[in-house]
Amino acid sequence: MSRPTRPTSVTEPVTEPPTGPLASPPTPLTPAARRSPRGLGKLCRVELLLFLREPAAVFFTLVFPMAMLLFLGVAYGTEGNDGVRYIDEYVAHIVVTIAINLGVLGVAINIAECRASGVLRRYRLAPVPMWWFWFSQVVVGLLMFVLAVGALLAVVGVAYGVLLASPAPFALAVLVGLTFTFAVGVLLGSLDLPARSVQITGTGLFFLLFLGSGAAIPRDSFPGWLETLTAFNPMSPVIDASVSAYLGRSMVGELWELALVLVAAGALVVIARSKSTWEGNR
Amino acid sequence: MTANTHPNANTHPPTNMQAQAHTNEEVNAEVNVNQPARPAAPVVLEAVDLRKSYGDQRVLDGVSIRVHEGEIIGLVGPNGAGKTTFLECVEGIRRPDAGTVSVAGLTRSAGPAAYHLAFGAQLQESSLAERLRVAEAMELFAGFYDDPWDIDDLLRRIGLTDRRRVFYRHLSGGQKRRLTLALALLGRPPVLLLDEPTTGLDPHARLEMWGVLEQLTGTRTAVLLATHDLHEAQSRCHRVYVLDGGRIAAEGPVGELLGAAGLTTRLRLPNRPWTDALLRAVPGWTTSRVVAGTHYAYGEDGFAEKALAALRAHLAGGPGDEGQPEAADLQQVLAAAATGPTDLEDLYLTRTGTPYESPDTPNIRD
Repeated sequence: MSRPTRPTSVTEPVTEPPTGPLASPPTPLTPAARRSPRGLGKLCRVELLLFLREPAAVFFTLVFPMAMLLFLGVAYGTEGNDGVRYIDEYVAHIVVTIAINLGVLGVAINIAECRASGVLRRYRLAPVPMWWFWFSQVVVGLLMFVLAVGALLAVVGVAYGVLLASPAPFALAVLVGLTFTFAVGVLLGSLDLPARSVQITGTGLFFLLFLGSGAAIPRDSFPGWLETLTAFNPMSPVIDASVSAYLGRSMVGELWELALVLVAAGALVVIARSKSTWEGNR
Repeated sequence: MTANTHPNANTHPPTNMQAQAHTNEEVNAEVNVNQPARPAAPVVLEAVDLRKSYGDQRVLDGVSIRVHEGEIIGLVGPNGAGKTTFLECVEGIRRPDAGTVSVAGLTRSAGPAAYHLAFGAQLQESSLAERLRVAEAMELFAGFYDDPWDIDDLLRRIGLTDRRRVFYRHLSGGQKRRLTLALALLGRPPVLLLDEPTTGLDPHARLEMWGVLEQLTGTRTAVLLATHDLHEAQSRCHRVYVLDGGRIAAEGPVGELLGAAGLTTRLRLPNRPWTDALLRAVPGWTTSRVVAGTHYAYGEDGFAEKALAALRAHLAGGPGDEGQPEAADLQQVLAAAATGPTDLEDLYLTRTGTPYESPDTPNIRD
């Protein structure tokens, strides 16, 4: 069939686009292309690339925790209490701090900024389910976490030696912490809030979880009322359990609290799913 | 079609759809959606009686549009007429309060991811990550489809081969538009939805964009585009839908619309208190609009010449009664008068509540 004629003359383009037979002509009446599951892998890869191209994000994920550890290590690292070096406690604290940073700040702010800049809008019109984008954020966060913790342990290993007495329980405790912080990040990023509000709220939550869990200053040095109050911080049992596991102590006492933290993380994801929006309604 | 054919100069045709107090049913009944540019071509996009309100504000009030395979359809109308909302309802970004939309036989009930396989869309406002390279963006979006367009071929055709390693943030406005057009085409969709695809582009980039679009869409892809560029809509589109106040004010090929509305010739002259009455009395007059102190009078073939002759006759007749034009004033108006063929802009002007009206010289409302 011939192309219908236009009502008036059509101006020719100044720059002639390439001509010749179309390699993949757009001829189907019904959609020719189907959604490919490979897209999820490509999305994760691109999101990782984009993360690595943000100098500030890389610095605060990889370099800053290491610098913090070395700063504290130089000051008090080899000192100890009851035969335990402060540096060994700090390592567990900083590992959990990286998780809080990546989840609560990294994931939340990136989702909010992608929404504000219209990137999510672009994804929305591709055959991409929203959970693909969430998943890519979590995958990137996990990869960066592994990279940051690996780099941290390498530096600690050279400078002080890595203790890590119970690797599996330590990994379990950290995984619970990651699940919770990433759930917080996904929820915060999914809410219909401006990017700046997400940034401010995320920063507040970061300090609440960081300072209030004993990640900065051990909770047993808090006044009694504050120690009792901060026991309800979801990251407190994560810190306690990971320190115990790192030092080779039993973390059985924290197990049920870790289970509660997992339940809370699940609840946050459910809420995030119901509140999530590609571009908001503001 | 909603043409205001009105050969009788003594009665005044409606010039504004909002003033016609049509019911939605009447409006829809007048919308002729059965005249494709290629009658045998199948329908690939159909929206029926779409309604959408934001709070108390009704943005779409029973809009029905039908697009056939291979057609390029223009959606024009003033700011706030509902063009973008309509496109967003079709794209699934907004959920209409009532009405149905199907694209390539799929509706939203197919699920968003499946539905979005039915069309490619270029949004008025969207973006990509600033530090994403052109080729990476293409590979990413190609990865969402099972059988996408060949990336190298598409990059060559949109003229971005030499920019493939450039970050999105370093592209010019025209290059960004071409890239987003390519992303919309990657899935080889049967329907393309474009929201002001050339707004903000210089003429060179605009022509490049159209060249690329016309070549890439081939002969079967249907294109529905919202635009403020009436010249573009007239020269590029097989049919236009004029949207005003959330309703279809006119629909059809521009030439047919102008002829059916009796908008064959235009006389433009400075507005005076007496011009309206004088021009209405000229045989063949169909309608007038006053915009920013200028009177636009429209009529059938020969109207402009008859109107000028009437003005000259007044001048030759000497001073008239009170309220009649003074000779000097008439001479001034005659000197500034201009005639010409009508185009989509004239149809738009007479069919929509244009925002360009001067508050001092309100539109003539018949």
